[in-house]
Amino acid sequence: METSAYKRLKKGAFFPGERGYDTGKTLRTAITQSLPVIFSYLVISFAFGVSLNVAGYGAITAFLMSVFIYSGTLQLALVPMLTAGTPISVIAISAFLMTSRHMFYGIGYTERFNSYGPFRPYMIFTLTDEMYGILSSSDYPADADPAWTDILSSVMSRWSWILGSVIGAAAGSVLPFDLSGMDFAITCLFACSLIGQWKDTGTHANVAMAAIIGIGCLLIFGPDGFMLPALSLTLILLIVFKRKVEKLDAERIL
Amino acid sequence: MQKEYYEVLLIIGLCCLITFGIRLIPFVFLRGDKVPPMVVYLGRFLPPAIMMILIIYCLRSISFYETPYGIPELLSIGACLLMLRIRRDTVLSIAAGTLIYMMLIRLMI
Repeated sequence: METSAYKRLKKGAFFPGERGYDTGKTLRTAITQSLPVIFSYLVISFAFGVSLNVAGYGAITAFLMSVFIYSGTLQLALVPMLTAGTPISVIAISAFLMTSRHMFYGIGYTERFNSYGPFRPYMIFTLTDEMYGILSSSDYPADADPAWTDILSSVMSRWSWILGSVIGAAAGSVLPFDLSGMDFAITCLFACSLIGQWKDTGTHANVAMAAIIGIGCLLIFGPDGFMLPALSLTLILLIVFKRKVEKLDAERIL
Repeated sequence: MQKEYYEVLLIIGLCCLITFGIRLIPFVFLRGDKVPPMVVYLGRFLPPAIMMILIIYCLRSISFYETPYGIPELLSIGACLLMLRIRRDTVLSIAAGTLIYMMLIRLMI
């Protein structure tokens, strides 16, 4: 489908200024929006870079991995797999299982992604947990271009990830000061995002259900394997109970 | 046994295809001129549900049975949300929650 924003992006009018938005305001909104992710990414990817260096690989490998994989959990898990003789088939299966949760993020955002025009593939490729958090919590001022705010947020987040890992791999040692705990910003981002969406729906049965399923799956499958069953089950139950949820939503129950 | 460098490049390429392929899945299946009502419905109710599971994902390795019993995490999230309620500023709330967390884990362990 071609939304009007997509058409505008395709035909001549391309930059925020040409589309009737304030470029500076767009950039500032993107920076404030992605700041928590930029800091967390720098810290986490630095740690990844250091561990890669310790495993015997340098800045170029860190750069390639961060540019082409761009998944924190997977990149961190790959480090020991590169040094141990892990077969490629096992690596592929682990990679699939570790990043499979990302397949759920595009659902419901397909229309929004059309507004990114030529950046659509880029935005799909860079749809990490944290970008999903940014997209779900975004709140644009009137004169900031929504599509460009998202695009710039994604570019800055991604390059902070790449930069952190390259510096980590080049330095190869931990920082002289202790930054542990800074990645907690991501948890706070998700919490703020959840609260930000609170008023969008009349019922919160979906959130309650997700909490029960999430904790249940965590207890059953353990911390390393609970995401895929938890997300699948949530999606399936939301589809199955569509009418029930819509009824609760209309009556503003829960 | 260290892998040969061509193997490393092969693994990076393979993981690139896997991560991109996975992120692409919904966009491949849900294209077309009209958005089906089910997708509109999921667009409203799925993101908050996923956000809830992502919060659990972030807290997955805390233990409620040994010190500090997950107290830094829960207190910091509480502080973050309290700040959000008072000031309605996401970035400020995230900064507050993170700083309190960084302080608590240094003081409580």
